[in-house]
Amino acid sequence: MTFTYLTNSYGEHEMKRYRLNILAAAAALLLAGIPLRAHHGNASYDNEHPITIKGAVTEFAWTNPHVQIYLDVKDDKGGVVHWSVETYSPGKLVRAGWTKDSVKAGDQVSINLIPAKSGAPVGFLHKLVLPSGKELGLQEQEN
Amino acid sequence: MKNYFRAPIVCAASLFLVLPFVNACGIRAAPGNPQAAAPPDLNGVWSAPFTPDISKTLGHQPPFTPYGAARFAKEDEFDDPLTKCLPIGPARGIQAGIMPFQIVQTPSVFTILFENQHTFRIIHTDGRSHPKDVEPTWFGDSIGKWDGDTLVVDTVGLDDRTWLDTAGHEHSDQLHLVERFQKVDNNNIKWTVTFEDPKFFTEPWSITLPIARQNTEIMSYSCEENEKDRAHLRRSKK
Repeated sequence: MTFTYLTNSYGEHEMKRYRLNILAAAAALLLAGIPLRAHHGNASYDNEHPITIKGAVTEFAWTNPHVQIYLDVKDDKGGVVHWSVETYSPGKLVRAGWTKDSVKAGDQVSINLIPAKSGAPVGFLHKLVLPSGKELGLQEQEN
Repeated sequence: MKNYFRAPIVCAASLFLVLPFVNACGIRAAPGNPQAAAPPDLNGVWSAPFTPDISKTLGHQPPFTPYGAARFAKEDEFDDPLTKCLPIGPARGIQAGIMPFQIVQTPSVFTILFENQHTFRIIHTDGRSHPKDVEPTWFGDSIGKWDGDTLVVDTVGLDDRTWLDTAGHEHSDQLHLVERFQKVDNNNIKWTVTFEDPKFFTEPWSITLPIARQNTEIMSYSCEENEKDRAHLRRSKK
C-alpha cells in the first residue's frame, strides 16, 4: 500500500529524485560533521581549533541544558588547571550512548574539545575517552 | 451491443478487485463524503537536518529590503534569543532545533512537541480562520488544511523577537509563514516553508528540507536548569 500511495503522490521518477535529495542531504551532513553548536552559534567557542586535554575528573554533572564535566589538567609547569567542559543535553547524550554513570569523579579521561573564545579553561566536548579506552561522542543513533 | 453492456460490469468488477489500490489511480472520495479518505497519519517522532543558516539551503541571502539587509549586517549571534532561553519559534524549531520533535495529530488539531525547551505548536485543523486581531506570540496563530497528502499550515501573529535561524536572520511581527508538510512515505515528510515579511523581504521565499522519522522518544530538556555558558559568549561584531 505504501508503494501505491507513493506512486499516486509523486510518480516514480520524482520519488527517486526525492530519495536522492535525501541521500545528498545526509551525505552533506556527514561531510559537515556533527553540528557542535547547541544554541549559541559561533559566539562561544573557537570551532576551527579543537584541542585535546587529559586529566582527572572532579565532577560529572548530568544536567540541562548541557552536561558539564569538570577536570584537573596538569600544565607544563607542574601546575593544575581546572577545566569546565560542557556538551549536549542529557537527552541527546542518551541517544549517543551515554548514561548518567558514564563518567565518574576520579576517572582519568582524555577529552577532545573546542575551546572558549574567551581564553578561559572552558570548552565544548567533541569526544571523551574513558580509562578503559571506550570512546563517547556525540553521534546519535541511526534511524 | 454485447460489449456495450459488458463493459460496465467488467469495469465494476475490476474496481472491486483493485479497491485497495484505488488511490493509485488518482481516484479520491469527494470532499464531504463520509467515506472520504482520512488525511495521512503523521504521528511520531521526527527530525530535520540541523540547518543553522537558512541562506545556505536557499543558496544565497534572502531578498532583503534595505531595512532587512541593515538588520542582518549588524546582527550578532551573541544576541540569539536562545542564549536567553527564549522560545525557538515555529519554523526554527523544525529546521534548527537540533533535537527531534513529536507530531501528535487529531482530526481537529495538529500539535508539534519540541524537545528543544519543551515548547510546542498547536495548529488548528478544524476549519477555523485566524482571529481578526492577532496579538503576536512566540509561536503565532496557526491554522492548517489538508490538501491531499499535504498539510498546509498558515501562521501569522509572530513575536519579532524570534530568529529564523542561528545565523541571525530576523523578521518582523508581519511575518507570514506557509508550511507544507507533504507525506512522502511512512518515514519521510517533505517540508517546505515560505517566509513572507514585507518589512524584511522584498518578496516571499522558500526552503525545502526532508524530515525523517526517528527511532527515539522526546527526551527531557531544560534551558535554565544549569546554564553556565552564557558567561563565555563573545560578540563577533561591533
